[in-house]
Amino acid sequence: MELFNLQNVLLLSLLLVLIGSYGIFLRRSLILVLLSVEIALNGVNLSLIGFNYFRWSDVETSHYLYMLSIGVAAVEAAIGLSMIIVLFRNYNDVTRDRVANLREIP
Amino acid sequence: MNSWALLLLPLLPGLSAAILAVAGRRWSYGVYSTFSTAAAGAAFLCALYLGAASDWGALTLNWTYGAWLTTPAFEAGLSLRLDSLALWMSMLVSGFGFLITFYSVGYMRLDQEQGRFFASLNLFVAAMLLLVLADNLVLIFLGWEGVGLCSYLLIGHYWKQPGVPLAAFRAFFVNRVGDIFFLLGVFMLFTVFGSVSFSELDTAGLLFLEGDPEAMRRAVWGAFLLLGGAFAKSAQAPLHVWLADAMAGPTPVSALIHAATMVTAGIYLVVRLDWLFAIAPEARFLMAVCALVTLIIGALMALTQTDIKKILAYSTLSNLALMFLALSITAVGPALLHLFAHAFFKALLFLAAGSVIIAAHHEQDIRKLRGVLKKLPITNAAFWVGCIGGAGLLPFLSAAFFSKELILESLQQGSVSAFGLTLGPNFLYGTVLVMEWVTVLYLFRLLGYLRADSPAEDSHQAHGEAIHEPGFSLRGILIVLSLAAPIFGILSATPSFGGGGAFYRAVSGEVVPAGPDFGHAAPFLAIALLLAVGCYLVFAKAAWRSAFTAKTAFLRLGDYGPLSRRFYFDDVYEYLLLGPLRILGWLCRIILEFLFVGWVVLFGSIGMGLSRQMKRLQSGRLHHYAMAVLFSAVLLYLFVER
Amino acid sequence: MQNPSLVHLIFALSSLLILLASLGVVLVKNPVRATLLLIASFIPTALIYILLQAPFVGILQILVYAGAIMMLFTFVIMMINPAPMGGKGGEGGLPPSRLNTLVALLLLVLAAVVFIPGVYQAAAQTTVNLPLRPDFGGLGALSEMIFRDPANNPLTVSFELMSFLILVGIIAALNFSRRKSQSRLDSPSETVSASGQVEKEEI
Repeated sequence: MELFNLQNVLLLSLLLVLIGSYGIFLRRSLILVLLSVEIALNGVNLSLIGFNYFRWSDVETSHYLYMLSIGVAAVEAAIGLSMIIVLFRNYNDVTRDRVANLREIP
Repeated sequence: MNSWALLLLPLLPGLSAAILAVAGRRWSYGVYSTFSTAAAGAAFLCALYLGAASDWGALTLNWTYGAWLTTPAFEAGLSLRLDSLALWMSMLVSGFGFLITFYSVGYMRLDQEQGRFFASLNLFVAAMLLLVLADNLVLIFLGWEGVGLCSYLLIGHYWKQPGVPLAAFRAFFVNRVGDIFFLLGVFMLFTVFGSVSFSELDTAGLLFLEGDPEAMRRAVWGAFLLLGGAFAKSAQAPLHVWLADAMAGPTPVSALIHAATMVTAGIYLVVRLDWLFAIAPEARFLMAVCALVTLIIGALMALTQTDIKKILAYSTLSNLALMFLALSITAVGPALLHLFAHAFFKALLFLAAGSVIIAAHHEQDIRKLRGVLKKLPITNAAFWVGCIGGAGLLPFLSAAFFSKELILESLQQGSVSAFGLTLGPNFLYGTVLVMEWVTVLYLFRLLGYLRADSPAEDSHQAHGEAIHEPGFSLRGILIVLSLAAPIFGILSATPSFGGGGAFYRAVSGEVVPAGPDFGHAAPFLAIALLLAVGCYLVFAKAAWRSAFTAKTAFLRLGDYGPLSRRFYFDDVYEYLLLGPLRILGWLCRIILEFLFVGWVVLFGSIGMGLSRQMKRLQSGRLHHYAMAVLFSAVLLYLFVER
Repeated sequence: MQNPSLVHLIFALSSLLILLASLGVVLVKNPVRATLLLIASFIPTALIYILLQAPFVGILQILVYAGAIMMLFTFVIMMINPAPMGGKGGEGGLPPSRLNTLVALLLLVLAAVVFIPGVYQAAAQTTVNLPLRPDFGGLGALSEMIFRDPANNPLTVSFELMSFLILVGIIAALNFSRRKSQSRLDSPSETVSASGQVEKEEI
C-alpha cells in the first residue's frame, strides 16, 4: 500500500490547517488560539517540504522558505505572547472576548 | 528725507500693528502697550516734521513709491500727497491717535486680550493716515476698508458679552454698504474723468466746469454715490444706525472713532472733492436734507438717552450733520474748523467719560452715576471744559464757539437748491440755531446728572470700593486735552474777537472771514447760557429733577414713540429691507433644497445606511476575522480554480 | 530509504500521531497539556521531514520549534498561572454560542470539501522525480545554496534581513512587557509595585 506520496502529505497538511482553524475559531483563551495558529503554520510548513521532495527536488528552496517561516513564527509568538502578558496585567484575563472592543473603553 | 517721513507716517503704526499681532502675545503688557504708544507717538512726530518741512501746509508734497494697479487704461500708484488739508488731518489723526493710545495704556490695564486691542488701535491709526494721505481714490479705498475693518475689530472687543458681536457686525455691514457706494462712485468718476488721481482730478475738474451735459450728469451721479460712502463712514441718516451701537466697544475706541479716525473720513472725502460737489447741487441738496434729519435726530436722541456714552454718540451725529450742512452750502472752511474743534471737545468728553466709567467700575447709566464727578476733581474739570466747549458757550475757551458762529454766519447767506426746491437761509439758520440750543441742553443735562447732589443708592457702593481718580495715564491725558482745547480755541479766534484765525487760514487756505461781532452774537449766547444754567440746576437738584422728569415723561410718547424706537430707522430696515430679503432667502433655500440638497441628502443617507450596516460586520472578535480569512481563502481558491 | 514498506508504515504512524496530538491541542482544557501535546505533535512532524529528505529542517523543527518557541509558551503559561477550568489563562468567560460553533464547523467542512479534491488534483499534476542527490537537504547543501557568492545572492540578503525582523520583534515584545501599567483603565500616575506599595510611576 502506497501511503507515502504527495497527496497524503498534502492531505495531512490540510487536516492540520483545518484543525488549527478549528482551534482559532472556537477556543476562547488567547494562548490556545496562538497554539492553534502554530498547528496551522506547521501544516503549511509540511506541505512546503512535501512539495520540494516530490516535485522540485533539485534545489532546496522550500527548506529555505521553511527557515524564513519559523523565523516569522518565532517573532509572531514572541509579540503575541508579550501582548498576552500586557492584557493579563491590565485585565487579569486573557480570553478573546476581552479584546473585542474596537474603541477605547469609556 | 521728506519722502521717507511721508512714507513712515502711515507705515509706522501699521508696522507696529503687524509686530504686535505676531509677537505681542509673548510680551508683557507694559512692553507692548509702550511699544504701541511709541509707534503712535513716532507717527505724530513724523507728522510734525512734515509740517515743518512743508511750511505748515504751504507746500504740497507729492511722492509716488511704486506702481500698484497698472493697466493700459487705468493706473493707480502707491502715491502719497501732502497738502495743507492732508497735513492737518494727519496731524489730527496721529496726534489724537497717540493721546488715545497713551490713555488706553491705563484704561485697558485690567482688561483682557489687550494685545489684539493695541494692534487694532495702531492699525486703525495707520489706515486712517493712509486714507488721509492717499493721492488717488483707489489707494484711499485701502484705508477706507482698513478703517472699517478696525472699527469692526475694536467695537467687537468685548465679543463675549451679549449684543457686542451684533453691534460690531452692524458697524461693519453698514460700512460695507457705504463701501459699495464709494467704489461705484470711483468707477463713475473714472468713466467721466479717466483718472483716479486727485492731482489729475483737480485740474480735470476745473477744466470740466464748462463740459458737456452727458458727462455732467454722470459726474453728478458719481457725487451721489461717493456721498453714500461718506454718509456710511460719517454716520449720516439713513446710514447712521451703526454709530450708537458702536458704543459697545471700549471707551478709548469710541473716542478715537468720534474724534479722529472713523467719522471724519466722510467729511474729509467731501472736502477733498469739494470741486465735484460744487458742480453737483443735487448731491449737495441731498447732503443738506440728510444732514438736517441727522441733526434733529441726533440732538433729540441725545436729549433722552441715559447711557453716558450714547449721549456723546448722538451728540457726534448732530455735530457731523452740522459739518455736512456747512459743506452743502460749500462753506468748507467753517466745516473743517468745526471738525477740528469737535475732535478736541469730543475726545475730551469721551476720555473723561471713560475715566468716570473706570472709576465707577463700568457703570454707564447716568442715573446711577449721580454725583460721581464730585469725587473726581480732574475728571470734573475735564467735563466742564468739554461741555462748555461742546456747547460753544464761551469764546476762546472753545473753538466750537467760533466754528459754530462761522457756520451760522455762512448759513445766513448760503442756500442750496435742486430739483426745483430750495432750502433757504432762514430755514437752515433757524433749525441749526434751535438745535444748537438743544445741544446745550443735553450736554448740561449730562453734566447736571453727573454732579447731582444725591449720590445715594449708587451701585458702586455695593462693590465696597471707593470711587477715586483712575491712573496716571488717564489723568495726564485729561489734563493735556483740557489745556489744549482753550489753546486751540485761542488759535482759531476770528478777527472780530481779535484773533488772527491762523488755523482757519492754514487748514482751508481761504481768507478768514471777519466772523460775528460780539454784539451780534450776544443775545443768542445769552439764551444759550440761560438754558445751560437752568438745565444744569434742574438736573443737579434731586427734587427739581424728579419733578421735571415726571412732568416731561410724556414727551417720549411712550415705548413706541420716535424717541424710544430711535426714530424708527431700525424698524424700517427690519421690515422693509430685511423682511423681503429673508423671504427671498427662504425661497432660495427651498429651491436649492429641491434642486440640489435633496440629491445630496438622498445619496448621503444611502451611504450612511450602508455604512451603518457594514459597521456591524466589524465585531472586533478575533474568530470572526479568522473565519472571514478562511472563507475568503476558499472563495479565492474556487475563483482561481475555475 | 532502503525499505519502502517501513517508510510507509512510519509515515502512517507519524501522521496518526500528529493528527491525534493536534486534535488534543484544540480540545483539551488545560493550556499546559495543550502545549505539551503540541510539542508532542512536533516530534513525528520532524520524523516526516526526515522521511522527506529534509534532515536539517527536521532538526530545526525539534530545536527551534519544539525547543525554543514552545518554551516561550510554557513560560508565559506558567507566568499567568492558568487553572484547568475557566482559570485566568484558560477558557474563561462564556463558551461560544451554538450558532458560532455551527458556522465554524460548517466553514471547516466547506473548506475540506473544496480543498480535498484540490489536493488530489495538485498531486496528480505533479510528477515524482526521484531519486534525489545524496546530499539533498543536508546542512552543506543548504549553506551552499544560501551563502554561495553572497554579494550577488538574493537568498543571502533576505536571510540576513530575517535577523532584522527578529530584532524588531524583540524590541516590540520588550516594549510591550516593559511598562508596568499602561492600562487606560488604571490611573496612569500610580501603580502597584511588586512589593504591593503604591508608588509614583516614573517612566
